Amino acid sequence: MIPELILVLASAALVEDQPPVNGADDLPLDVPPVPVRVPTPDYPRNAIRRELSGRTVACFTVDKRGRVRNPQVVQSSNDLFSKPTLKAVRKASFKPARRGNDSVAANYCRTFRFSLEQR
Amino acid sequence: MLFVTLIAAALAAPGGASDTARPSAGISAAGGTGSRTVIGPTNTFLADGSMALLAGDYAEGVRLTEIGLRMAKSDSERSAAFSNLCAGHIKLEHFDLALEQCDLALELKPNQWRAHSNRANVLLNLGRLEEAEAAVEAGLRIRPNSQTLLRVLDAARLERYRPTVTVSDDP
Repeated sequence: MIPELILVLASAALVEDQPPVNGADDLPLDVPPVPVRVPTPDYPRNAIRRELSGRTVACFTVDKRGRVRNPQVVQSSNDLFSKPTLKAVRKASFKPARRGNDSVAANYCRTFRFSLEQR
Repeated sequence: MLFVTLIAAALAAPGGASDTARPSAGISAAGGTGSRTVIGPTNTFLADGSMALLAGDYAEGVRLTEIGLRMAKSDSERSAAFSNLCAGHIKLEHFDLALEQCDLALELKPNQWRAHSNRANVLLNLGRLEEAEAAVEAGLRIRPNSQTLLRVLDAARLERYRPTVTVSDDP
């Protein structure tokens, strides 16, 4: 009884950690998506004014052609950072994931850290 | 030299006024001219001086403003003149002199937000970052949404910080 309960909880945690799924299955990949170009988000001017550092996590699907689909900011320390994150992610490109010889869609997350370093 | 060409040197209106409804206006961040509305200036030397400054003829702007200052009839006009002299001297890179002029402008009229902006600009150029930020904040208390002041604040922040964004696969 107890091992089953642990198993259920563990799988629930896994599901929660998954990025939004949009056309990608959960089967294991032989090669995950490889970033070709992920532009750096602009540091929001308002955040600089307010001396804010922060972090965002953006999740999306990389489709069979390496294009970003359904990008979403799933975590953000401040909404100010979400918009530039999404803008950058939308412009990203990847080599698609592979399963065997096939290109397949895959879910993918990236973390963006915005920091103000003292000069 | 820091930000001389990037930051607005706000010009006080000869009537000691706000951006739009009184004579003169402000210099844009890149040093170009902003909108100008000249409505019956009471001191033509101050008005001509501010126009010369807006046109980028800083030496002439300072000369005319100094004449206008001698003819000024009120503390408000004198404060505007000192603030404009401060702006002109910033552009001429006479920062110590500019600071004196801004201080005089604020002595006469402490709520002159343009003088606070110019003063912040001078202090930034002198590398006195904390004082520059305090000057911006003083100006923002008077004119909270002034884009001119916010540009100076941006410059101060960028002088203090290097904004960086790193990307990783780590959660």
